[in-house]
Parts: sequence; structure tokens; C-alpha cells
Amino acid sequence: MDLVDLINTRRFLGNEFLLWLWFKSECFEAQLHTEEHDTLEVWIDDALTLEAYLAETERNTISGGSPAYSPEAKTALRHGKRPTKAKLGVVKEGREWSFNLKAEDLSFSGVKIPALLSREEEEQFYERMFLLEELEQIVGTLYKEFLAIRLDVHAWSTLMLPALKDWVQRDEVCTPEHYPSAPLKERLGLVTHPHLAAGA
Amino acid sequence: MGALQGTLTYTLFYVKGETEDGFVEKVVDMVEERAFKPLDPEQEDEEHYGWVPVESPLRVEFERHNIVFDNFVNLGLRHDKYAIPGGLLKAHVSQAERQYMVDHNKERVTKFEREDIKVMVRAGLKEKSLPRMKVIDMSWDMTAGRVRFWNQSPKTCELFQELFKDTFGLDLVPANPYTTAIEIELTPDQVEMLVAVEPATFADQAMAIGALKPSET
Repeated sequence: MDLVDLINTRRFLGNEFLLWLWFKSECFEAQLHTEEHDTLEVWIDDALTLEAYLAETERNTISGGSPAYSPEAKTALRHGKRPTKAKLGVVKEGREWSFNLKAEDLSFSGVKIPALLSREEEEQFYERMFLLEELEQIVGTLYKEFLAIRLDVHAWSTLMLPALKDWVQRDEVCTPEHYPSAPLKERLGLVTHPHLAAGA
Repeated sequence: MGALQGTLTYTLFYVKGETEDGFVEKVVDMVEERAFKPLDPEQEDEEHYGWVPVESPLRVEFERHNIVFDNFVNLGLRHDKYAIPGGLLKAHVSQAERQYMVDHNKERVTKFEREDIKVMVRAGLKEKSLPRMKVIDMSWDMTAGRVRFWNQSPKTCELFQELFKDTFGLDLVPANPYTTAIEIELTPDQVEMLVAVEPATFADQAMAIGALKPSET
């Protein structure tokens, strides 16, 4: 496959990444942990779009309130739709970002960065770029964690995929027990939330 | 805009290749070669694009201090295009053809005459109108090897990639699930799997198929 084919045929990983992030955020009530960024809050904010994988014209756009917890979103998942775009919120060390993440190209739009501290125009530019880079690194770290699971046959097919399928069918909100943290830690060394980090 | 103020909606690119030694000293010359040149209504060109300093779309002179910001290269891509409405052009061409027939005592105009008339009418309308101007910022973080371009239109991004390559001799690869995976340095086994994995199914098959083909369930 040439690069263009690889780019086009691997776009589904963006959808699966968003789905995994949605599930993980729900399990841990948005409190996530990564080695690089320590404790983070990551959640799906007030907009979520789901589309059928093989019929892109079938689309559900849910906005306002908490779409990630809406029965409509769960029904769309049960009908085979996947998240294609979500408005996400991220908090790190008391600083908050809000942005739209598009699954097919992992692009950022409408990014709101934490309040700038600089006054001078040039300093503000560096601060804006620093804050954007920090957000890209946070999303990159989460994507790396997802890929570590997704690209390990055992971790994906016997641990994460069954957990995701169970979640899709479940009406109740998930808890940390629904996320296969312990076996993932054992297999891949992933420390996925603050409680595990404390006990590590 | 975006680099200095405003909404943060952008396309992220990864820079492929290395800058040559003394790049920063040469950057002004490189950019000047591809600087924006204003459209001339008397010329046939319908559109021009090129670099302008960020926040100064009317300036076409460059100095290092308005391009290089520490480890960043900041530039604006200015794209001017004449946009003469089709209906207006058609009406003026029709009027000019009638006038031509009267002036030359003809009952009809040939295909070649019609084309000449259209060119003259278009040039006349261009002189009376101003081109549509679009300026989009880009910030190249030379340390991280990343470029942020404050636009997400595929056509505009393609034009930007070409201009960047022509100016600096470096390719830009847009971020997406595949290129981003490669950027985060996977192990060889993971890269092999990245190429091989197929989309997973999360829903009950029957429900999913039913959602796509309700008539068959």
C-alpha cells in the first residue's frame, strides 16, 4: 500500500480512538492518568456526532447537555454508528482547554485555550503556541495509549474489545470496574488512572 | 488569522526533511522568491498567491524579524482572485456583441470574434473590480517539525503544501490517524499491526445491519 492508501484505509482508527476515549472517560468519571501528564480530566463536552461506518449519510448530531450519556448516542452505537466528531474538554493542572476533534484526520477546530498570562503581542504568540502544543501532546499521549492496546492482538481482542462491546449494550453508566485496568497493566504496563498510579 | 489572535482552527502538518545549514539566514531570500505579487487587471492572470508578513497582508517586503520568531517561522499566505459574477459577464458580453455587429455592419459574430469580445469584456470588468483577498496564517515550529496552518479547506491546504514545498524544498504531510501514529514512534511490531488491523465491530451485528438495511430485517 502506498502512503495515500495507508492514510485512507487507517482513518477508522480515529473513530475507534474517540470511542475508546469516550468509554474510558465514562468509566473513570473523566479522571485519567498518563505517565507524561500525570492526572488529567478528559470528557466529551456538549457536542457529539456519530455516523454509520458504511453509510456516511446516516448521521446523528447530538448537542447540548451531556450527549455522551444520552440514550440517543448509545442507540446510535448499537446500530453500528461510530463517533466521527466530538467536542472535548481537557483540564490539566487547573488549566482548561475546549476543542472539537474530528476522527478522520484527528484535526482540531474551535480550540479554546486557557487564559493567557502574557501582555506583549510576541509573548502572547509564544504562549498560544505553547498551549496548543501542550494540547496536541495530551491528545497524542492518549492516542499512543489507545494504539498500544489496539495494536496488541491479545490486549485488544480479549480485553478491550469485549469491554467496549459490553459497554455499548449496557444502559447503566460504567464504573472503573468495567475498564480492564489490571490486565492491561499486567500485559502492557499501562497505568491508566490515578488509583492504579497510587498503587503502582 | 490565528497565529497571533483569533480562533484556533487549523490543519496540522508534519515537516518531512531537514532544513539546510544556515537556513535562518537564508529564509528571507527564500520567502521573497515566493512573495505575493499583486494582480494586474491588464494581465490575463485570474489569481495570484504568495507569502506576506503575518498581520501585514499589504506589505510585500520581508525582514527576518517579521518572519522568524525564535524557533518559529510565521507567514501569511495571501491568495487574491478575481471573482466576476457569471451573470454580469454574460450580460456585458451580450451587449458588446450587439455593439460589435452594429459597428461592423454584421448580422452575426464568428466563434473567434465572440472569444475576443469575451476576453476584452472580462479585462474591462477586471479593471472596474477588485480581486477577492484571502490571507491565512501559518506557523512553522522548526524545533518540533510541525506546521500549523489556520485553515481546513482541502483545496487551500493543497495550495499551501505546494507553496511551502516550492519555497523551502520540504514536504508537508497532513496529520491523520496513520501519520500521527507514525510520528509517535511505534515499535516495528506495532507498525506492522498498524498496516494490518481492520475495523472492529462494537455493535450487535444484526442490529447494525438492520440500521443500514431496514428493508431486509
